[in-house]
Amino acid sequence: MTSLYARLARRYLAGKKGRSLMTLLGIALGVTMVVAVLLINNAILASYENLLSAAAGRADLQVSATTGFGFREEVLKAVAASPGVAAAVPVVRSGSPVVAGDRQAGATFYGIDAEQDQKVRDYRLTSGRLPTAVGETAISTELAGNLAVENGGKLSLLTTKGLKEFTVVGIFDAAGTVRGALGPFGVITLPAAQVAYGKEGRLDLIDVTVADGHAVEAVRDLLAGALDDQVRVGTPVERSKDMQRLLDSVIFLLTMAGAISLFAGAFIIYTNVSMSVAERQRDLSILRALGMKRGEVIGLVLTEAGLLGLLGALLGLVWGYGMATFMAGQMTDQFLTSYGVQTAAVTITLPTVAVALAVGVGAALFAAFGPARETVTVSPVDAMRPGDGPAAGAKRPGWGRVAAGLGLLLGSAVVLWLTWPDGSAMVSPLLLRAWGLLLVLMLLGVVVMLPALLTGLTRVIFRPFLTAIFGITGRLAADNLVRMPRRTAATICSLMVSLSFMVAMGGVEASQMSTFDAWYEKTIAWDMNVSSSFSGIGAQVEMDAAFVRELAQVEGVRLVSPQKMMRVIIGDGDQAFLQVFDFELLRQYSETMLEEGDWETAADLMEQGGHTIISPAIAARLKVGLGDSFTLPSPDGPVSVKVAAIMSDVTPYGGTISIDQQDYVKNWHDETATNVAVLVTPGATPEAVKERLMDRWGESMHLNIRLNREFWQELRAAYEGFYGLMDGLVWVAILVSGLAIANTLLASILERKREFGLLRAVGSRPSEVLRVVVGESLSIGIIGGLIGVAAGLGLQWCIGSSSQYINGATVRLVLDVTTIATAVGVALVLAPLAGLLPARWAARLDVVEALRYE
Amino acid sequence: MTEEIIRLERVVKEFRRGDTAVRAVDGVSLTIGRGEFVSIMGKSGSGKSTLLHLMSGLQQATQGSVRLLGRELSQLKDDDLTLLRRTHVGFIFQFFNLLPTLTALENVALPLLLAKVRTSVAEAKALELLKTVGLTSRAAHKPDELSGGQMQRVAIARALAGDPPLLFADEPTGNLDSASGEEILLLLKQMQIDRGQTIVMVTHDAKAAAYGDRLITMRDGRVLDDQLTGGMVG
Ligand SMILES: Nc1ncnc2c1ncn2[C@@H]1O[C@H](COP(=O)(O)OP(=O)(O)OP(=O)(O)O)[C@@H](O)[C@H]1O
Ligand SMILES: [Mg+2]
Repeated sequence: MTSLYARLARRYLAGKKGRSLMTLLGIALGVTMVVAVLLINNAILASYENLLSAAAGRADLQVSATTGFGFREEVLKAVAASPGVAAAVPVVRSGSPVVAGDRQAGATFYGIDAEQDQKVRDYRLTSGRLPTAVGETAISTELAGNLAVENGGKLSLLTTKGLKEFTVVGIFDAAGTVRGALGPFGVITLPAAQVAYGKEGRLDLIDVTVADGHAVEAVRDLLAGALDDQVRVGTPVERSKDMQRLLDSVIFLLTMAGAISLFAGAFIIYTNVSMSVAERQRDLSILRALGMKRGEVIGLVLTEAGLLGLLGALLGLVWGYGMATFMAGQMTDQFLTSYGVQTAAVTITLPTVAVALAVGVGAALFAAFGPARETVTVSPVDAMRPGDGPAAGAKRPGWGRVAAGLGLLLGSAVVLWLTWPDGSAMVSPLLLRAWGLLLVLMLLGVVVMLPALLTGLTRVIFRPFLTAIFGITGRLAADNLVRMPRRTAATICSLMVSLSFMVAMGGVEASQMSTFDAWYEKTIAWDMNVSSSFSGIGAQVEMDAAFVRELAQVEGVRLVSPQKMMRVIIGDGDQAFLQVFDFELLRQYSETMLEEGDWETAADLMEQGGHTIISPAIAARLKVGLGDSFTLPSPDGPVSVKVAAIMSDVTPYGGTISIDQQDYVKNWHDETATNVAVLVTPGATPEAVKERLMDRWGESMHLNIRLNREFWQELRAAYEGFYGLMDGLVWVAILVSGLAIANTLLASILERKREFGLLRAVGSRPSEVLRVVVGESLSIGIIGGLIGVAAGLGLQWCIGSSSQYINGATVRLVLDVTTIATAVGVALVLAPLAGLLPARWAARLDVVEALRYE
Repeated sequence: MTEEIIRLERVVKEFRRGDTAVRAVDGVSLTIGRGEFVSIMGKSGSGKSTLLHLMSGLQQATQGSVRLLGRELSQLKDDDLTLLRRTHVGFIFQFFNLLPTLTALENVALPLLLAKVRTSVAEAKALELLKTVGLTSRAAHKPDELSGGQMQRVAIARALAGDPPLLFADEPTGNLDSASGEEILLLLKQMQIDRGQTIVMVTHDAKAAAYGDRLITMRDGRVLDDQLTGGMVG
C-alpha cells in the first residue's frame, strides 16, 4: 500500500508541477515569515542577555546605580563589610571612542581593580598583562584589530577632557574573556577611568560574590536594606530582566508581526493544500470506486500534504534564517544600538525548527484533512459524474457561523476594551501578549463569518454591480465567487490580513513621523548640537564644564545650553530617561510640547527649581499628575520633585523626566554635559560657527557637531530604518497573498474548464472569458481591500493610542492617505493581476479540448 | 438543389502527438444545403466529432477548405469566428454542458445575453423556446434539479436561442434512455419541419439516424457512404 501511495503521490506531484510548485512556494513563504520573526526576536533577547549576564562573570549579585551617573565610592566599603560578602569588585564603565593613528573605533572601556576583578572574571591574555598604572590599558583582540595596534603600541581614549593617551600593555585572548561577548572592549585602572569619565569618587557597578555558607537571597536582602536607593541590588539575571523591559516595545511589534505572519502563513498553506486536494476529488473518487478504503484515501492525501508541508517547512526554515540574518544586521545598524544591543546573532534553535515544522506540516495536514474527508463522504458516483461542478450556494454557510464569528470578534473587542490602559498604569508584557492573542482571535472571527458575509455581499452588491457593468459575464463572475464561499473567503482573508498589516504599519509610521516632526519643530530650535563622540559609533563621552564655558567664548556663539541625558531607575524599579536642562536658557530658544499644563507657567516653576516635567508614561507608572510630587534617586539620596507639566515624548525608552540643571548639580554633583545646544549671533551663520568650532576642537575633543537639519535627518533615519524593516515583512505578506489569489483562481478555473469551453462554444469571445475571471479576482480584491483597510485602521488605532503606555512614546494619530491608497491600489491591481494568468489560460483554452470528458 | 450552406473541399485534420500524427479527417469533400437534416454515423474513432467541429468552426482544418454560409473559415480571426458561431450556429453536446450557476431560463438566454441582447428581450425569447421544448414549468430551476432528458432539452432550446440557421448535435441522445432520446429526436425533427432548420447530427444509433433525411457513414476519417434516406417521420 505504501508503495502505491508513494507512486500515486509522486505521479500527481510530477504531473502537476506548476500547481505543486505554487503550493510548495506558498508553504515555504508562510514558514519563512514565521521563522524570520521568531529568529529575530530570539536573537535580540539572547544578545541582550549576553550583554548583561556575560559581563557579570562569576558574580552572584550586582550593585548598580539608579541615578544615571554612578554612586558614591563609599558604598564599596559598606558592601565589602557586609556579612556574607566574599568579594566586592568595583567597576566604572563607559562606551568610549578610541583613536590610534588615523584609525578610530568604538569600544566599551572598564575601569577595574585588577587584583579584585580577577575574583569574578578570568582574563586570558595572548600577550602582556593587565594595566596597573594610570596611562596603561589592555584591549581585546578585536579592538586591537580595529585600531591596528599591537602590544606596546599607543592609543588615545576620548575623555571628558578630550583625548588622553594610553599605552597598550596587554592584548586579550579572543575567546577566553567573558567580556568579549559584548564586542570590542578595553580595560584601564579604576582611578584612570574615574578621571577619564568625570566620575571621580564614583562607581557604576559593584560585582559581589557571596561567601560559602550564605544564601544569595539573604545577602541580597541584607545589602538592599543597608544601602540607600541610589543603588540597586540584584542577581545578574534579575538585572538583565529589568533591562529587557526596554525592548518590550520592539519585541511587541515583532511579536505582532509574528502573530500575523503565523496566521497568514498557516492560512496560505491551508488555502493551497485544501485547493489542490479539492481539485483532485474526482480522481480520488475513482480510486474509491476501484476499491480503496476511506482510511486509505485519507492516508494518501495526508501523505502527500505532509510531504509538501515538510519540504516547504525546510525551505521556509532556510529562507527565514536568511531573512532574519539580514534583518538582524539592519536592525542593529539602525536602531538596536540605542538600546545597548551591539550584535544580534541569529541562531536556529530546536524550538524554531519545531515551530517551522509544526506550522508547515501541521497546517498542510489540517488543510488536507477537510477536503479529504469530504471526498470519502461524498459517494464516488456523485463525485465522478461528469462534473458540472458545485452549483451556486450548494452549501450555504449558515447563520451559526456568522454568530460564532461575530461572537469571537465582539468578545475579543470587549476584552480589549476592558483591558485598555486608562493612563494609570503601563501595559504589562503579559497583557501585551494577551492582546496579540486577541488580535488573532478577532481575525479568526472574520475568517469564520466571512463565507456567509461574502454570500450576502455578492447577492446584494457584486452581482447587480457586475451585471450592470459587464452583463452576463459579470453575472457569471459574481456567481462563481460564491460557488465555493469558503475557499473564496480564505483567499480574501489572506489578502485582508496582509493589507491590514500594511495599513496599520504605514499608519503608525506616518502618525509617529508627524508627531515627531511637530515635536521637533517646536522643541529643537537650536542651531547646532555639540557632543564629544564619533559620528556613526554609538559611544559618546561627557564634556566637562570648563570646556562648555570655553565654547561660549567663541566668536559668533550667542548662547550655549549644556544638556544631560541619561538612564535612571525610578520608584517603580524600571528605567526612565532623565533629561537635564537649564530652563532659564532653554525657554529663550525652545518650547516643550505639552500634553497637559501651560508652558510659560511650567517654565517659571522649573526655573525656581524642585519641579519636573514628565511624559504621560511616567505619570502612569508613578501614578502622579500635575502638582503631585515624587522622588528621584540621586547620589545624595532621594530628591523630591513636583510635576509642573506633562509633555509629549517621542523617545521609545519607557518614559522621560526633565529636571532643571540647578537641581541636578546640587544633588548629583556633576557638571558635565552630554551635549551642548548652541545658538549663533544674528550676523553669523551656523555653518561658519561650526567650522570655527571644528577647527579649534575637532581633533582634540573629537567634536561631533550636527546642525539642526542634520540632526533631524539623523533621527528620522532611525525611524525609517525600523519601519523599512517592517515594510519588508509587509511586502512578503502581500506577495504571499498574491500567490494565494492566483492559486485559488487557478484551481477554480481548472475545475470549471468545461464551463469556459462551453461559453466559448456558445459564442463568448476570449476577451469575455477573460473578463469573467478578472471580474472574479477583482471582486476578491475589492472585498479583501475594504476589510483589510478597515481592519488595518483599527489596528493602527490600537497600536497608536496604546503606544505611550507600551514604550512611552506619544503618538498622535493621523490618517495616512498614502498607505491607504497604496493598499487599495495593491488590492485593485494585485488581485486582477494574480487572476490574469489563469484568466489568459482560460481564454485561450481549445474549445473542443475543454469540452472533452476524459 | 437548395441553397448551399456548408461546403467542404478535400478537408484534412491531423493531430500531432510528438512524432506520430493521427489523421482524424482524411480528405472529406461534401456540401450541405439549407433545411437538410444530415445524420453522420461510423465506428468510434472514425472522425465524426472532428468533422462536426470542423464544420462548425470549433476547430480549424489542417488542409482543404471549409466554407460556412459562404465564408472561408480559415481566413477568419478568432473573434470573427466566435461572432459567426454566436449568430449562425447552435451546438448540442452529448453531455448537456449547462452552466450550473444559471437557471434553465438563463442557460437558454445565455447566447443572447452574450450577444448583448437586452435581458428582458432575451428572457422572453428563452421562455418561448422553453415552451417549444416543453419545459416552461422548469424555467427557474438550476441544472442540478433537472433530469438528463430535461437538461438536453434545455441545451436544445439554448442552441436555438440565436435563431441560428445551422444546428450541430454530437450524440445528443447518447446519454439518455430511449424514451427521452426519442423525445429529443422528435423535437429536432420538428425544428427542421417547422423552422426549416439545417441540422447535422452525429449518432451511434441507427434508429436515431433514421430521423435524418440524409445519412453519411464514415470510416477512418473518410466518407464511406453518403445517401438520401427520405427521413422517417413520427
Ligand atoms: N485532440 C486530439 N488529439 C489527438 N488525437 C485526436 C484528438 N481528437 C481526436 N483525435 C483522434 O482522431 C480520431 C477521430 O476522433 P473523433 O473524436 O473525431 O472520433 P469519433 O468518430 O467522434 O469517435 P466516437 O464515436 O468515439 O466519439 C481518433 O483516432 C482520435 O483518437
Ligand atoms: Mg465523437
